[in-house]
Amino acid sequence: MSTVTVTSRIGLSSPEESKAVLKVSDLVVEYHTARGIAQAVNGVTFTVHAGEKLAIVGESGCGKTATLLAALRLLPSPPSKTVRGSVEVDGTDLMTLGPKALNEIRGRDISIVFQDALSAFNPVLTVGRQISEGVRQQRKLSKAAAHELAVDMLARVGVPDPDQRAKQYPHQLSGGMRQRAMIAMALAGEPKVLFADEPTTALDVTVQAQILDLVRSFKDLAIVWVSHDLGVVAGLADRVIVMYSGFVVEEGPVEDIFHSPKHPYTAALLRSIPRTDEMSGTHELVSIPGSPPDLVALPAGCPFYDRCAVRVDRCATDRPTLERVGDTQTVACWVAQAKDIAS
Amino acid sequence: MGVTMQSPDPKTIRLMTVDQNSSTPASRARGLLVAARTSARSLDFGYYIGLLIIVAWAVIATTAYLWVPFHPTEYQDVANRLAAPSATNIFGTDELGRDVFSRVMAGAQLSLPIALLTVAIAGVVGSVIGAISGFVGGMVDELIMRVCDVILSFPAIVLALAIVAALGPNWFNVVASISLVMWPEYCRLMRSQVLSIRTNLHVTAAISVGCSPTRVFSKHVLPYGLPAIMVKATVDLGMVILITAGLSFIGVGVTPPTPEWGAMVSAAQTRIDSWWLVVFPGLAILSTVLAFNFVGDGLRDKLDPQLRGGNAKGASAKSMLQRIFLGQRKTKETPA
Repeated sequence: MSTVTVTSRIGLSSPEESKAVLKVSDLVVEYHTARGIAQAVNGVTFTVHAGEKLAIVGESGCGKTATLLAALRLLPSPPSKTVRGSVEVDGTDLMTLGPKALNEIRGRDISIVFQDALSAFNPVLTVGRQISEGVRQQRKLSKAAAHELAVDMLARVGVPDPDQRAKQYPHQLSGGMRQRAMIAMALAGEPKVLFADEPTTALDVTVQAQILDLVRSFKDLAIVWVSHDLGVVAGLADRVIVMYSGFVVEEGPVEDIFHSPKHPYTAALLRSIPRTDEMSGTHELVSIPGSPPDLVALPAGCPFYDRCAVRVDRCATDRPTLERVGDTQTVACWVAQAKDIAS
Repeated sequence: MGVTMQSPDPKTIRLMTVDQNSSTPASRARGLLVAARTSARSLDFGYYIGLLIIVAWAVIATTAYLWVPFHPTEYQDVANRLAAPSATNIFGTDELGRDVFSRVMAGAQLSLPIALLTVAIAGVVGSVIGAISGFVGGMVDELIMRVCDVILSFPAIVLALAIVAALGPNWFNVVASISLVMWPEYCRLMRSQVLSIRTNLHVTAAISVGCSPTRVFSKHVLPYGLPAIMVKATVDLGMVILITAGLSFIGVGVTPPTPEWGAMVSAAQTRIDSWWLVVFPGLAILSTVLAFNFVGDGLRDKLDPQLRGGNAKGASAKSMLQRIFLGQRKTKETPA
């Protein structure tokens, strides 16, 4: 099955082959540190279709957030540098755009929601003003129209009394409401693709559930949701990408990833979720032994080699590439690929 | 509690009563809140005193020549020179028999505008250039910083002296030269502020929704550097008065017989036993500097939206003025 990029908006014959709104190919990001060059993102490639919810999971420092920020060209440079790769939104490559065109496409076609909504808002400007700020400039809206838009956006993300809230400052809103406002800000320009950088991590579970319900209700919006919370991912995503030290190690539909993980890292991650139905008292919390490799000195072979329970000799020397294993998943693991051929 | 030895003012009493009930965490928190509010109010007190002094000096500066008992420059009574404070000359007389009180009052007319104008020029020019330096970075930053280095490598007074000497001694050249010497300090300060602010998440967020660099700069970066600039500016007002004094003393500043506080203090250095010559203009400088410091501190808090009660009026110019002159100390958190 090949991914078909359709740039025109109409004339799609089959619903299966719906258009790709976002194509990230071979994205490579480096950080120049005092210790040397840290390879944070190593050839990440993925495609998101209209309305699709894609989740990127992995532990801290595996390059999830760096991928998102680099794709939007929001990483500060120096110290970071996007070495190569393309990020096509509806056929336009963000990496080759000039500053002006980039400003126009951000917010309008693609935008991002951050984890910490309190620090993502400017504390000295009202929430409403910030929600409509980008759009106001892009569409040359009047002050009144911008306010109306902000109120409308707040209402759409389920903030009660939006007219009043729009006039308030970020610190006057509760955490959940602030996160809704943050989503409203990201969606004000009616983007087709929304990046979400762990937007529910800082919230308590009831508010988290509300936010997830809200996000699920945006049927047409393509979302790339970065998280280390596999529970959230299971309830939200259509497809999952598992990242490990800057590499994509496994990709597939959410059910398949959760029910039959092919990569040993994915399997270990899933085992390490504490489950209430198995908590009979004897079960200990499972963790993955060891720690991820140093990004400044990545091993020549598989980055998961040191911590892997099923490793073979080849894993130490050859870095595995992403190959299709089974019907729906792609996996970067020699062992899993060999097993697939054998069966 | 041992505090009862001192005369207990109402504030302490309130704090103490809250303290006594502080068995639960909630009431302890309430006690802290009361303490915070009390200190905020005493800060407000200093702010209003400062404002009062500044307004008073401003009124004196504009009207002094109309009501001072003796003409500050033309009245000279050499027979009565170096007289100690008395009923006729309440601040005494100087070495030419001029009335010190009249001269101090009239001196406000020159000292205040020189200080304000110099700090305003240096502050605005320095902050703008510094902000650009920090925000743009690269070669522009390098160039600006090296220029600053060159200017800062000279002792301020020496450089200012050279400039005034070249331009000729008058009060405008004094302003120009001191601003020229001072702006790199503001430039450095603003640059460092901007450098730390521009990595804040809210700046990234603003960029991510399509705000142009100019907008991000003016709305999300620049306002954050201002509190530090404001505090430095209030301190510098006193500095400028003193540098002006130094220049006047050497003879390139404000020329005699024009009354100017710094010049008066400098001239008094040779007449150490006539204490009134140095004390009264000194007090004038002190009160002005102190007043500006109070106001600067208060302003910083008043313009901070997390301390003030934000509402729909937000950042309009009218409400800003309201806050500056009337204050607004209610902070209300309205959770969901």
